[in-house]
Amino acid sequence: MPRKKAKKTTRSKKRASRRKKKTVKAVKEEKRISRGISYEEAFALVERYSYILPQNLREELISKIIENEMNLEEATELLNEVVRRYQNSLVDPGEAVGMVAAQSVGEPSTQMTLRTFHFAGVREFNVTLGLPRLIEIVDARRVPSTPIMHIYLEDDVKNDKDKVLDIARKIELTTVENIAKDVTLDYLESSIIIDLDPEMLENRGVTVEDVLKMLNRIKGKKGRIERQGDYTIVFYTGIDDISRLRRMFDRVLGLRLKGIKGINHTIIRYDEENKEYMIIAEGSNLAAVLQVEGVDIRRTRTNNISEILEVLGIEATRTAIIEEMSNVLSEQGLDVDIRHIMLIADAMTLTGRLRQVGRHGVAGEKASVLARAAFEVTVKHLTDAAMRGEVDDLRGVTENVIIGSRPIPLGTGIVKLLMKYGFNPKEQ
Amino acid sequence: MNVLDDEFTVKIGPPWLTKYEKARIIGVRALQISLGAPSLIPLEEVKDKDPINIAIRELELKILPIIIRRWKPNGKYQDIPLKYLKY
Repeated sequence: MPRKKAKKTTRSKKRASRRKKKTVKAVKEEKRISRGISYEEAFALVERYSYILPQNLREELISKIIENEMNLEEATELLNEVVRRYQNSLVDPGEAVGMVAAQSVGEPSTQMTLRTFHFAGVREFNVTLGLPRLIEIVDARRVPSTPIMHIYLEDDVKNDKDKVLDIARKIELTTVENIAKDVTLDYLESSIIIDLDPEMLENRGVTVEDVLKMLNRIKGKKGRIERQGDYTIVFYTGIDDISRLRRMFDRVLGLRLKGIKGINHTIIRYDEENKEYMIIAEGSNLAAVLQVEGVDIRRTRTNNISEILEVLGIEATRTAIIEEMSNVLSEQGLDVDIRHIMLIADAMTLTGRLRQVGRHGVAGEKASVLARAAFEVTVKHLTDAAMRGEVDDLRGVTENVIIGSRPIPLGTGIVKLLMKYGFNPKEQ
Repeated sequence: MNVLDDEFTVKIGPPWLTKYEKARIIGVRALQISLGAPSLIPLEEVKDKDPINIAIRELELKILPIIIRRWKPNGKYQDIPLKYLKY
C-alpha cells in the first residue's frame, strides 16, 4: 500500500490527502473505540487529578489504561471510580491518627510471643523476632541484636554454586582463630605458637603465606616470625610485659586474614522461588558487601536499619522500617494496617535523620512544656522551662487539656466555624 | 466529579463535609436553638421539636449561614461556605 502511494503523482497525492482530511476525525473516533486511547491521552486524562491522586497511583492508572486498551469513556469511568475510592479511604482531618496508630501497633504487640525463632530452614542462625525486634526497630538502635544480611547475586554468578561459594568466602570474615588448630602463648620466650589446620586453610581459601604476611604487619620492631614445618608459625613478640603480651595474643587471634569486618558466618542457600543461589550472612556490613564483585546491589538487604541510613539514605530507611515492622507483625499472624506502620516510619524519618520513638514519644518532638511536664518529673520540667523562659504555644492536645481550654484541638474541636451575617432565611 | 470545572475549589481537605465538621455544626446550631435562636425552617417539619433534630434538618436543607474555616498547621486557611461541600 505505501509503495503504491509513493508512485502517485503529487497532484493525486494532494487530492488523496484532502479526501483523507474529511474522514480523519471519523477514523480517529473509530480507533479510539476499537483500540483504546494513546499514552498521551491517558496521561492528560490522569494528570487532571494530579492534585488528588498520589504519583504512583497515577502512574499505575496510566499503565493499566494502556494495557487494557481502554477507550476514553471506560478510562474516564475508571478514573472516577479510583478517585472516589481513594477519597473514601482518606482519613478525616482532625482524626487522632497518632493515637490510633500507637494503639493499633501496641495492642497486637502484647499478643506476641517473646520466643525468638530459629531461622526458617537453617538452624545455624538465630533471628530476633517478635516484641524484642519491634522495640529494637522503633528504638532506632545502632546495631540490631542479631544482624543478618541476605545477599543476592548478579545474573552471571547466581546459578554457579562454585562461584557463589567463592563470593561467600570473600565475604565471610576469617581470622587466625578460625583457621588454627591451636594457638598457645609461651610466657617463657614470650612467643605465640600458631598451629594451623590445613583443612581449614583449604576450606577458607587462605594460604600459610597469607597468614605470615598479615602477621608481619603487626609484629612491631622487636617481633620476629619463624615458620617451623609446614603448618606451624612461631611469633616471637619480644614483649616483656605480661599484660601487653596477653593483649598481643588477643590481637593475633582476631587478626583479619580475609573477608569483611562484621560478617562472622555465611551460609549458601538455594532460593526455590527465584531459582538461584544466595548467601545469608550472620552480621552486617552493607557498605563493604555492596562493593564485593558479583553482589546484586539492588536486591541485597540487611536488617541493620542505621546502616541503611548511612549507605542508602533516608527514603530507603523509611522503607526498611516499614518492611521490617510489617514482617515482624505478619510473622506472628498479626494483621496491622500498613498505614499505621507508615505513619510511625514517617514520624521517625521526616527530619532527614533517624529519630527513635522511646518512652517520651518521638525524640525531640514535644515542643510544649506542659505536655512534657504531664509525663514524669513534672516539677523539674516546669522549673527548667521557667529558668529558660520557654514559651508554650498551646498547639497540642495535652497542654490544652491541662489549661482547660474548650474545645481541645482534636476531632470536632479542630473545626473552626464562622457565621455569615446579614443572612435572610426567607430568600432561600 | 471533576472539580476543575467548578469555579470554587476546595483546596484544603476533602470536598465533602467531614464527620467532625458535621458533628460540630449540628452541635453548635442545636445549642443556639436551645438557647432560643429562631429556627430557619418551619417547625412542623421536625417531628419532636428537639433542637438537635431541628439542627440536623437545617443542615440537610443546606440553609445554615455557616462558613467552615479549614486550616493547616502552618497558618494557611480557606473559608468554605457550606454550599460548596457535598454531604
